[in-house]
Amino acid sequence: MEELRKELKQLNIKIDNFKEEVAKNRSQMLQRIEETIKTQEEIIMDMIKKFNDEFYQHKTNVLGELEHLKNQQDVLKISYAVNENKLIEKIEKIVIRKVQDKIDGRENEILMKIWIEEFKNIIENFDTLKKMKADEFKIRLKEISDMIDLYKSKIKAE
Amino acid sequence: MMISEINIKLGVLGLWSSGKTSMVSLFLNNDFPDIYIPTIGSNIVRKEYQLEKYQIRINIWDVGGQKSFNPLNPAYFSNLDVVFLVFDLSNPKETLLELKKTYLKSLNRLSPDSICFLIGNKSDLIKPEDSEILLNTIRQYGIEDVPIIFVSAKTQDNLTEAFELIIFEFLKKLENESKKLQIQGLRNEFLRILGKSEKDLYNLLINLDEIDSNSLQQKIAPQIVKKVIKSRKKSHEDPKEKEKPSVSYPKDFFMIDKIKSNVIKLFHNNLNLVQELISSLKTTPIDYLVNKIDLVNEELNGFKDDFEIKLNSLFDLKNKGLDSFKGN
Repeated sequence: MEELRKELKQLNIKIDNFKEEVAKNRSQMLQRIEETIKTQEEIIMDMIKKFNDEFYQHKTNVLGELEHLKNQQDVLKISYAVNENKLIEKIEKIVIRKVQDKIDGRENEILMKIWIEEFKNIIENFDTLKKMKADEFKIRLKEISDMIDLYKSKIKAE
Repeated sequence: MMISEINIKLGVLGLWSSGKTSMVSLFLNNDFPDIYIPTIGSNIVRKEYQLEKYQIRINIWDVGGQKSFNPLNPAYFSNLDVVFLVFDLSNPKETLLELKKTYLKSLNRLSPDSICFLIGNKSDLIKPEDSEILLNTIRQYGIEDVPIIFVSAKTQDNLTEAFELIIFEFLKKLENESKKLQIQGLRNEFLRILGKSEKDLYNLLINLDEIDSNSLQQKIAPQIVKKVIKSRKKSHEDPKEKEKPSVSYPKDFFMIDKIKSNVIKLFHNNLNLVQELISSLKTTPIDYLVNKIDLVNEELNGFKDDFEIKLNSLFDLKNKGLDSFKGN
């Protein structure tokens, strides 16, 4: 019995020691974990900070390049617009010259042909004058008369 | 007091170069053209006589006789009130035959009620020794029952009187057919403003049954001082030019330009006339407006064909040059 008590006491002492040790180890482990976490955190923060710095730097660089590209783009756009206008002007001139060459000396015939078509249209719809009210009638007559004046001014002997 | 209008449509028809344009030109107191320029389509001009209550407006359609420009287009024969069928006294057989063969048929079909005169132009070219042959030719190839007058556009003999006579005949017909009192006496009023009598005008007529070569000479060369003829002066006068015939045919090169210029001028003239027709509607009283619109529409249709003929002639001149006249 006495030996049992001694063993028990020793066991309790061992358990207590063990508990102490576990507690101590646990404490140490926690501490180590904390330190590790803290260290990792610091490392990560460092990395994040570094990344931010680099990113900011990169962004600044990219923005600069972007700005440069935009400027180039603007220059290109202006250049394109100017060239496009020049091209269109040139094409217009060529077309006008070609058309003028084609109609050169034939302006009267072309105008006469257009007049005849207009005139046919006037005759075709001439009966509608009978159905018009007074002011419509006057307006229509004036329209026809003005049209004739226009052709008279354009069709001229060479 | 409102002035009413009497519109008379006169067609001057005949083979090319019979002198139609010269006749019309001189009647309107313009120059006698010394260069022959064929009329393309028609040349439409107007002369007016003012009576007390009426204005007589004679619309003269001088229709070109070149076959290549379709002188038999129905537009030129429709609704004619009075007609001059013109033949050339220096070439009577050919020109009369053409009138009978083609022009008369279209006329009888499209304007059967028109008053018609046969006008022998170029009476200044009749030589006394050829008078008898001429009269026989006309008797043989002339048109029956159509009064004949000999005129000279160049010397203006009987020219104005011929136009006045046909207007007088029209007014006489109008009086006979109209029930309106205001119309009665118009022909006498017309004679009064001319300062002539009915007899003066009817003296112009050639009676083929009674006339001989002596009386013909009297008729075509009356005892009056010949009028001074205005003609377009050339910039320089070459003595040798005086020996040439009075109407000359310019070189092809200039001819085309002159014809083109003339066509455009006549096209322009037509535009003016169309504009006047349109404007006339503005002043037409409302009671007569519907009828007037119909009348104007009819006349515009005539102009339409003439515009097209003129335009086509310009294209032909461009493409074929003077060959486009080879259809004579």
